[in-house]
Amino acid sequence: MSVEIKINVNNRDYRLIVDEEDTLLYVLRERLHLTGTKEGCGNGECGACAVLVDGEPVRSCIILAAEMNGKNIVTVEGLSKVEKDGTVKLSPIQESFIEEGAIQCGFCTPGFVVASSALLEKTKDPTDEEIEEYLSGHLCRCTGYATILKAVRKAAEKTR
Amino acid sequence: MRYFAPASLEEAINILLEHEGAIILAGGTDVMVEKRSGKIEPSAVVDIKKLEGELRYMRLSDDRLEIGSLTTITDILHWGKLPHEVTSLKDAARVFGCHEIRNRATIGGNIAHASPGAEFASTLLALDATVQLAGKDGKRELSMEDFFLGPGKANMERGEVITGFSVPLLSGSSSCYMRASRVDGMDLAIINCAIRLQDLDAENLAVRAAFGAVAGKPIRIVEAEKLLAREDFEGVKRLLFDTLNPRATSLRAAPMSKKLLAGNLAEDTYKIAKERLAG
Amino acid sequence: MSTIAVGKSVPRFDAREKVTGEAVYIADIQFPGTLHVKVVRSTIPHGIIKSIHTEEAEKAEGVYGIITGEKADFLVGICIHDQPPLARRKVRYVGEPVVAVVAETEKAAIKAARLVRIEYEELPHVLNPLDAIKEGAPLIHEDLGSYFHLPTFNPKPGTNIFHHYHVEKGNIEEGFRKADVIIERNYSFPHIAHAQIEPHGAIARWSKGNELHIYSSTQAPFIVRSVLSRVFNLPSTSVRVTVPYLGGGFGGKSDLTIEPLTAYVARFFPGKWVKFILTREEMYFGSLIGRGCYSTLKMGFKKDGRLIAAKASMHFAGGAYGDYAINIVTGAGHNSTGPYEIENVYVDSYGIYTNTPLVGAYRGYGHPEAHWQTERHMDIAARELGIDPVALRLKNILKPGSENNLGQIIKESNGNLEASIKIAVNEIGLGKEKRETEEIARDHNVRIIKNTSKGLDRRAIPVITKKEEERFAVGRAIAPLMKSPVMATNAGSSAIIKANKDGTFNLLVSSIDMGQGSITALSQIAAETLGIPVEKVRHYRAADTEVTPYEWQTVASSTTWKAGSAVRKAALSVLDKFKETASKVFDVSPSELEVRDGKVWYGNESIDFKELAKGYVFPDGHAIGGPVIGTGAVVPHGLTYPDKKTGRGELAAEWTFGCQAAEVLVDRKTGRIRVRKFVTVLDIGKAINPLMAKGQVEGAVVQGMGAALNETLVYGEDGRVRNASLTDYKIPTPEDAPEELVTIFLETPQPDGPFGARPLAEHGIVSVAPAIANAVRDAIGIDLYDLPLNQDRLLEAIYQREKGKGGDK
Ligand SMILES: Cc1cc2nc3c(=O)[nH]c(=O)nc-3n(C[C@H](O)[C@H](O)[C@H](O)COP(=O)(O)OP(=O)(O)OC[C@H]3O[C@@H](n4cnc5c(N)ncnc54)[C@H](O)[C@@H]3O)c2cc1C
Ligand code: FES
Ligand code: FES
Repeated sequence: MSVEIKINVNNRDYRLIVDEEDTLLYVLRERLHLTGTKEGCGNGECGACAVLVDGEPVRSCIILAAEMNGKNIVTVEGLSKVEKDGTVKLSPIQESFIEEGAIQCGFCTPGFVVASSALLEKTKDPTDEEIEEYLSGHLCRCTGYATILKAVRKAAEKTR
Repeated sequence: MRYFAPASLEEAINILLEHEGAIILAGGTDVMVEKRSGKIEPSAVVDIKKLEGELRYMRLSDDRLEIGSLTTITDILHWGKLPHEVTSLKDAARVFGCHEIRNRATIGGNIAHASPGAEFASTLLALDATVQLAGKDGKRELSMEDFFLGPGKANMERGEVITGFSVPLLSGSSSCYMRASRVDGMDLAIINCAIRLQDLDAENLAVRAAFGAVAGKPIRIVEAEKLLAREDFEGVKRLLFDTLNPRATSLRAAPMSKKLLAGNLAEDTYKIAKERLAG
Repeated sequence: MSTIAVGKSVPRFDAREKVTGEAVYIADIQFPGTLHVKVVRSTIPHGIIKSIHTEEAEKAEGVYGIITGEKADFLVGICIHDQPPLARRKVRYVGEPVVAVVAETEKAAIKAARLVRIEYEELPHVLNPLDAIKEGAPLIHEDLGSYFHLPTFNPKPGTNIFHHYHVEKGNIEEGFRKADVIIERNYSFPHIAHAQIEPHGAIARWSKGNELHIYSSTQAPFIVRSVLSRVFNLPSTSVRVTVPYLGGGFGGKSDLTIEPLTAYVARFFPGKWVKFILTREEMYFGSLIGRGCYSTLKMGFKKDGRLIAAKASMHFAGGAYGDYAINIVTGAGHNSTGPYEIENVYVDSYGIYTNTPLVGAYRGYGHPEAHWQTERHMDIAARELGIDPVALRLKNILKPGSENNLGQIIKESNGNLEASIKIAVNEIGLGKEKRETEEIARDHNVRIIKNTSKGLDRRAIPVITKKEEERFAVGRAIAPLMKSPVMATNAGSSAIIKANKDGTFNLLVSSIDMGQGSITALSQIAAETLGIPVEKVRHYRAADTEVTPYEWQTVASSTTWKAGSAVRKAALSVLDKFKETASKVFDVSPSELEVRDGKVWYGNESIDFKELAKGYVFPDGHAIGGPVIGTGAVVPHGLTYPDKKTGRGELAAEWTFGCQAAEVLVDRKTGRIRVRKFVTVLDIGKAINPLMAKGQVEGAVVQGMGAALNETLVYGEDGRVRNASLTDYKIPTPEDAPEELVTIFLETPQPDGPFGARPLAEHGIVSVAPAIANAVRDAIGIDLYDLPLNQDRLLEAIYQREKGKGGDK
């Protein structure tokens, strides 16, 4: 069966008829064509599908779209800002990921970037314990994590 | 599959009763995974998150902590007023899944799912908590011992909803929860242990010790409690090694490892609880 | 040498697309009207397909068709053709595709797939390769004798052995006779998963004119093209393979995986795009897995520590089909006794069919297996000989002038193993006195680049709360390494560079950037050769067999070194053409011209590249030259086939030497090993991009740690993979990164590498497991021979030892 939902994604309102079984991830990717959010497992195990719902990071693969009625959602596509002249300004997190070599294949990157953004929303001076709290459960098979940790620390410095 | 989002507890109960094969959806972190794998094929999910006003709370009375079933694990981890007697709840929350899972997962779902290694199952069992249920015939309250029946099986009728938990706050008590896992990051417990200590008098301690993922449901081991009270750690290790009989099919550790780990984990958990008792 | 592009840590060019979510991966490609595939897989490990019932599924909503292997009259393969795209008559492992359901949506395909029923007649099965070679073992391929195979492979029809590679040097019996101390042990490395975070996918369409276009997450578009054109009997021009961004490969997306199946299924729906994306679970059995080696190593030493004889026999569980494992068998055979010079060597390496998922390339390609046995063995031998393990190794390592097992002579330019070992020893704190690493490098006259990265501050993790001396033990140890690529003797690379009129250049190659950074590194090589800033080079983002030039495949860490050489040649050919035209303008010979700063110079007169790119126009309007396109191509230098009898020959095109070292903390109570510090020293010739090179090593080390400490595919008795999820198959998490990750590059230039570079991307994984296991031995005195070194192994070993001591626990 279908159900109608109203959601705001990256500052745009949508009214959608979705299948009751569809996940938020599916709707973002297949209906709104926001394919930046990735499916690595579909089981909540990897973090590639992380998005912000009302400011909090969650895993969109294990949430029904139907549950999202009335929610504000931010995906990786919504983290950078489009200036008036059409240029795109990356967030400090995005910049540091590039500079520190925290990206290899890039498949885990959207999830890490979304989670790190939530962290820096919460604190400008995260301790290792807080970095752990936010990045834990995100899997990257390429980098060995050290560059990612460095990028997050550096982005925090930039924001301060 | 149908999706319902009732606005009242009564409505939720009615929908559950009306639809054969309907299940409750709280944070969905178990439901969605099991649905995808085909382990469950619910005819409908009843999303109870509209009841947050009613069921998402942590409240203190004189000698009890009341926790609503829709309280998320993040709520527990970051609640500034958590009494020191029940620090084990925070221990459990800290190692639970990861931030994004904790933001959705609820304590009610964790207990209702009745998985033998669930973080809050042993914790609440050791804390001697009760679980509160509401159904079409009204409310009832059960001890944790009476609630867990076996792997994935709980003492719940069709149409019943867990509304909350009540945890006694004993004066002169402390608690700790620990688990063994394969990696330092997100993982499920190989086994876990939760302990509550209470000072009886200068010499004597009362110990409640619960273990998860060593049997089909979280269990208290009274003999181990007695040995721990005497701080006979070698005795505890021997007892657990000799008596535990974990299933051989675990993907996280062999039965032998669990038998060896249990006593060590109990010792560690006890010692931290003891330190906490001292202040 | 001062450089303008090479040797610089420029951020990767694809990073911006990846950090904004714009980068397109296979699953992100959405063509209108796409059909979706769901595969029904075998539920038994070995048996005959009796009947397939699809009637109900066919009637299900949204279903377009149900395809079985019946009509597939071909076998897939490169070196040995042994696999149908969908099972035919027989199934050989749990998870083998039997039926493909094609539907309008993925959901509909999943639902319909649940309605398909298959009946089997079960046959006895075998999971372990040592059992599979026993007399009377179930025969997995009755037709092995009739399969096509390349002449360098050696299947044994009537058995489960699909390849046997043998190496012989000197006289092994005499070697052991002369030895004072002989040590023999068994080792094992289980099946593990690549666990790339991106699942495999392919999207294929047959046009009505009988041409095939397939998008795939493959590391090997030209292999895919060649096999698909063979099996469908089409000219190469009628098969087009396009590769978008790849979310991690590590070998698991090399050769072929799901492409033949997708193409075969799509053939029944001409004009429609047919999409097949694996689920996470399927990643553990529906594509390729890695390793799975059971070996015995016997070594003979003189009293003074000289290693004079080594006999290795390695048994690889290749899975139900052998094609992708076949070269690993050879690769492991090449370097099975590690980076040592040994007079008498006798190696048998077997590829064996087992009723398990298929093994393919996995980072290291036979070398982690070989080093697991050899580097553990050297540590054990050192103790028995009463010689320091570092000294024992230094005494026996391959040096300039040494002859390796294959009969090749090591040259100075192959890299400095001795310096690598000494630096690793110093960094991990095993040296007699702590010295500056730079000082050691100076002693050996090598350039180094050092980096230290930090993991999470471990104090933040409340796991270890007690500092009990008898509980925690610290250990340190080293494990040297060497790796050479295994490749076809004609494994070519080629490149095209197109000059633009604004002084920029387009670079086309078919190497796949699966994260290792080839887009950036190859651009750097092109820019350096052209003498222009790297921003002026634009590397085509996809590989496309119809557009980009031939590349054997992106494996064997060969891209920077081999494709890089092709790129350099292409850039040189651009410059030649520029000079050619300019020489006519200046009316001098091209050899009198020089190239600098984006211009061609004759004395102090110059012409800008911009004026040459489309051909030069004289003031009066007449033009010469024409648009400039440079091409470059290489094949590996002088490789030969192995000698039929001794297995020797010019088999390795180059070597990368290095040494790894670990400091571990062992918790005796929980059996947990934590890697506190890990050091990798590699002689990589030249770091084209030090930041990315370091990233490769760090990633490889942590990946190797996963295999060392935790990872293993768990089979049920029926051969089912029981831990097919990231919850149950645990890979390292952010918290598991070592506190200190030290990477040191030596730069002994490789003569045939671009700017001296040699391969490095796999090498950081090769000796991780033995370095850790040797450090565990150092910490708690227990020798372990089987991976992974998980809690079950540690606790059991500690328990047995305590019991042996008479205590009851
Ligand atoms: C990646 C990942 C990591 C995880 N890590 C951990 C971990 O470390 N430790 C751990 O213990 N668990 C873990 N889990 C499991 C899961 O998150 C927990 O069990 C969680 O607490 C379930 O809560 P939920 O609100 O998401 O429940 P749901 O998934 O919504 O529901 C779970 C079950 O409980 C029932 N239910 C839910 N609420 C009620 C109610 N109020 N009354 C009656 N029945 C109800 C549902 O019908 C369902 O059967 C993990 C899961 C994932 C996906
Ligand atoms: S795809 Fe959602 S957590 Fe992996
Ligand atoms: S960069 Fe490839 S998975 Fe993280």
